[in-house]
Amino acid sequence: MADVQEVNDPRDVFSQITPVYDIQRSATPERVGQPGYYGLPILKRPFWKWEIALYFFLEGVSAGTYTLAAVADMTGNKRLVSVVRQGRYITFGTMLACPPLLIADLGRPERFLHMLRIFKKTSPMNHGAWALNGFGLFATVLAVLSVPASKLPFGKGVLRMVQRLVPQRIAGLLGLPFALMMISYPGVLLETTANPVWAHTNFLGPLFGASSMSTGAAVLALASARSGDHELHRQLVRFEDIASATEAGALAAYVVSAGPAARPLTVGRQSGMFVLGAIGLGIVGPAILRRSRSSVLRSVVAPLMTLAGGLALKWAITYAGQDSALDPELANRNAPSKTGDPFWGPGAAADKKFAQSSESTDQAMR
Amino acid sequence: MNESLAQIASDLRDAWIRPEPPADEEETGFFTDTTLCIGCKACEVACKQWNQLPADGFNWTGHSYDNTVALSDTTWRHVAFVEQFDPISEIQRWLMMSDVCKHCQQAPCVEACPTGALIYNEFANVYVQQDVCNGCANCVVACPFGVIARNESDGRAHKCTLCYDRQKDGLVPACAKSCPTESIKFGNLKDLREAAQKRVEELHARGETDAYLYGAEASGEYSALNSFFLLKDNPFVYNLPERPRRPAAHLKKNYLFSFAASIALTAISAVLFSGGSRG
Repeated sequence: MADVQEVNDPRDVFSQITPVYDIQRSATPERVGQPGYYGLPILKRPFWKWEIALYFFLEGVSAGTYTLAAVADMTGNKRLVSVVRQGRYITFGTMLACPPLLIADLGRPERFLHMLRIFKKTSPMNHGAWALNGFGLFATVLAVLSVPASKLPFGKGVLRMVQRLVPQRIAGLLGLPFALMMISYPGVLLETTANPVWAHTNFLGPLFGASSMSTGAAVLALASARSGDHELHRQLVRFEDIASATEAGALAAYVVSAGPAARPLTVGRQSGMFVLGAIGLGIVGPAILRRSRSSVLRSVVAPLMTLAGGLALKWAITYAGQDSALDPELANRNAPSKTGDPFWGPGAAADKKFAQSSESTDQAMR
Repeated sequence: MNESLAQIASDLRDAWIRPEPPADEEETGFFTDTTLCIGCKACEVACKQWNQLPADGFNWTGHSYDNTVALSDTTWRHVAFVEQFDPISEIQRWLMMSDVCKHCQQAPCVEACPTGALIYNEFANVYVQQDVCNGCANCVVACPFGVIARNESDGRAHKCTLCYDRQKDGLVPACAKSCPTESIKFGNLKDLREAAQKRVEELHARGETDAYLYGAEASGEYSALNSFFLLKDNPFVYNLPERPRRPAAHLKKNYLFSFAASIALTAISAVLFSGGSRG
């Protein structure tokens, strides 16, 4: 893949064409049936940059801690009360950072509410906007319910009344579907695009989801590092192991299923971030440190590495879309096909075509 | 300051107003017959003029006569030039194609748009409602043809409107009107498809057996295109994808995989937390 400047507008290839390249291209006439159009990209580069990468990370931490705190609360174990409360504060804090990041990324930030004009079943971004609203509401309610009334400078009576009226466990349970949606949709949002590095797989959703859960658990491990509850530490380490293993499995499945589309991550510009950051720092490193004898390495350094790795994973995958869009070969054969035939043109079998087209209109979602 | 606040307030209000949509008209589209294209770029100029789009600058790419390079937020017609002087097959020809938004019948940009700014209008054309679009750029990554783009200066997504304004007044879109060889044909879809089929048969009868229609009917996971093309070589030669992806066709499967993982991990956390001593 050519090393080109970061531009969103393919017209900017002007600035990338060196004189040497110019002469070579004009001196070599195109062969008949030779693939490609001067090597120019078919797709547009994504406009999603650091705001979205950071959002994916923070909302993952937020929804991950929400889910774990809600589950811990529902066990009714008094030993877990303090980690539940810390989890809810972290959920609320990280949730607060999400809307500003999303709004800042819009071309017209003042129109952010237009996301809620409609509900559209084919748009994961629309689903995400609604889910973030529901999630934000429950994260806020649960944070308020967790504040000890005695520590407030004023309004102690009101808070106590609210806390008595709204049962925490039921609120936590009602918010759980929103949290699960927040964990599940970001991968799907990237998968349902035409960008090969994101779209040529079904495993980006599980990968993002597992990363969100493991970063959520890592934050809880950090928050409870100074408590003497060794049993909780063990439980969190066990969960980290399982979540990391799931993440590693999803990551392997992603790389295999995406095949050549994963090149921007495996050998391209994001490979350092992906291999060293996401895999080394995020999965392998913490897995080793969690087995160390030192409690500092186990419950401080390992979670910090998991967090850094989670951010690296989402960062690398978000930015990989930039290079992937420039690959015309992948964009040319973008839709899956068992036979490898083009939809239209030389090699498209008419009989097969009509059988498939009637099927696809049955599934039409307009 | 007050004025801009008032503007924002009225914008917000207007986005929720739902007047009765206009009654459905006959479905219209483009049929671009590339065998007639002479590469004059009159369509590009007419489009820029009518739609008041800014110039792209004066640049030489060295890619034959193509100095426009691609469709974008400010370029809604783009003429591609392919010089084929092949010593092996001894074919010597120029392929020229006026590219445009495909106005897909199931358009990925419409399916991805979270605000409902992208719609099918009464002529079954894909149209961006500029008073609704908030520039989330989801359509940009959804389009498998790389047509739609967000404008840096006004922050909204733009693409060919199929001259919605002209159609409303019963006029032919600017590019089709200006095309001197009728390479770009505008009309209702039924007639266009018939004419296109006839044209392919005519070319085949003349011995030009490589002529075919790109996007005249649905194929694989992709819907038919309301602006379709007559091409003479592999689509990729014109920078059109052989197999465009319709992202929403994979939505259910993607959600299934994603939820399976997150629900399984939640269940595992429940098992882990319910063990151990109780405080």
